[in-house]
Amino acid sequence: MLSCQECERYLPVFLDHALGVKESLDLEAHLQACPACADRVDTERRLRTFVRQHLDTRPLPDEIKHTMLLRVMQAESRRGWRAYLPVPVHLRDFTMGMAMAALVVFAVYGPVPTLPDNEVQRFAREASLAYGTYTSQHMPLDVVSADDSAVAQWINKRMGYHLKMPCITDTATRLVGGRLGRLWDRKSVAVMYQRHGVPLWVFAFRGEHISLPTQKSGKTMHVRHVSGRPVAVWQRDGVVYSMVGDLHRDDLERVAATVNYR
Amino acid sequence: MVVLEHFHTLYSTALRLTRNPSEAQDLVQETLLKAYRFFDRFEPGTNVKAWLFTILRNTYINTYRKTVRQQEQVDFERIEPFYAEATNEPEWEWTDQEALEAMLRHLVQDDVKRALDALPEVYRIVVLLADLADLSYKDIAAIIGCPEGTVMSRLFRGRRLLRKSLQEFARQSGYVKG
Repeated sequence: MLSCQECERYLPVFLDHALGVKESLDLEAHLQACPACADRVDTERRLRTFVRQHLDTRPLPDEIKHTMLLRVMQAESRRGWRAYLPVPVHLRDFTMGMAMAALVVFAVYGPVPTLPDNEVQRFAREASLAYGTYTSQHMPLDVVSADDSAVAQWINKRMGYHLKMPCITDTATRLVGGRLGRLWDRKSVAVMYQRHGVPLWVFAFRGEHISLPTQKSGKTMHVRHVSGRPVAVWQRDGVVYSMVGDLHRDDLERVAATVNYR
Repeated sequence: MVVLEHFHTLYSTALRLTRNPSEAQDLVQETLLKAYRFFDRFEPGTNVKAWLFTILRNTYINTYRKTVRQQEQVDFERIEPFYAEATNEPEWEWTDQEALEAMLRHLVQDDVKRALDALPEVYRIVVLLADLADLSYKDIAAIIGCPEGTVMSRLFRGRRLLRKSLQEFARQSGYVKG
């Protein structure tokens, strides 16, 4: 059995719900038997409640709260690329540094041709951006159908030429519908699928003059990570296709490999 | 957004730390911005509330207090005699509910805030995290970066000093014990 002194010592921890189970039971047993200590506990509890109630502030009006949240979002979107550098760098110093580095590269290697791989990265970035917008803003579909021939027919009619619709044949993925959009400043089509509840978009536009590089492995499909999600980009019969989804890279590649064309 | 669930508690704590509504809004805004920016550093499965309060406390200490309230920092040398004085005196003059209610009747909302604001910062922050934000000793220890034992002792001292001030305010407004 605890003494009154021990009870007094453990009391704050007990009321903070931080006392061990056995110790709490011992203390409660003491409180059952000791009205003076039980009264002390009630007094302590009452005082804590009083302090807590009087410390609490009136909630901020919703308008102020929303303004604060909006400012947070705006501050984040205004954040320049220099904020991601490990140390703060003045723009002038950075530019000078980059210019010097470019001079050194030029002196050593001569003129460097534009890397065609950059184009793949740009397609991937644009597809990822469209995916982000479509999914976050729940962009409406122009055609809703799980029948790929119906969606293909609609696409061909609306695009004005025969653009082979990319049809995913993976059994876990189902067609939802499609819409028209603009990618790479061209009229393009976006086809929406779902895989285990995750939206998956396939974008396509005509780009006969575009020639995506072939990878060292001989693969014609490129997979890039943009904004934390994988994007597959490939070309077939003059059409540039890209597929985006919040999937694992391997899954996306596997699904992209099942695409047929209608 | 899980952060919104703790918005009010963050603001209340910020207000009692800065003692100024517009400064408290700035502090919360900065905390939310950092939480948003560094969300990838949050370990899923750990306590998001404790994580937010860690950001709030660090922002307050590192940026806000450094520039605004440096002159008010209190070190242990200043605190210890104050504490010794507080603990040497008999703690409670109201050991039963009736005496306590009589004393509380002489207090107003601002008295609690004034008493809290008068606490040295090392105590104020643990009292706020425990009694306003309802955080556990373990979470508070992680937030302020010290052992749980230190949290317990600071909390004990902080609450004791707070009550001593309350008692004093009650006396000033006419409370007579007994």
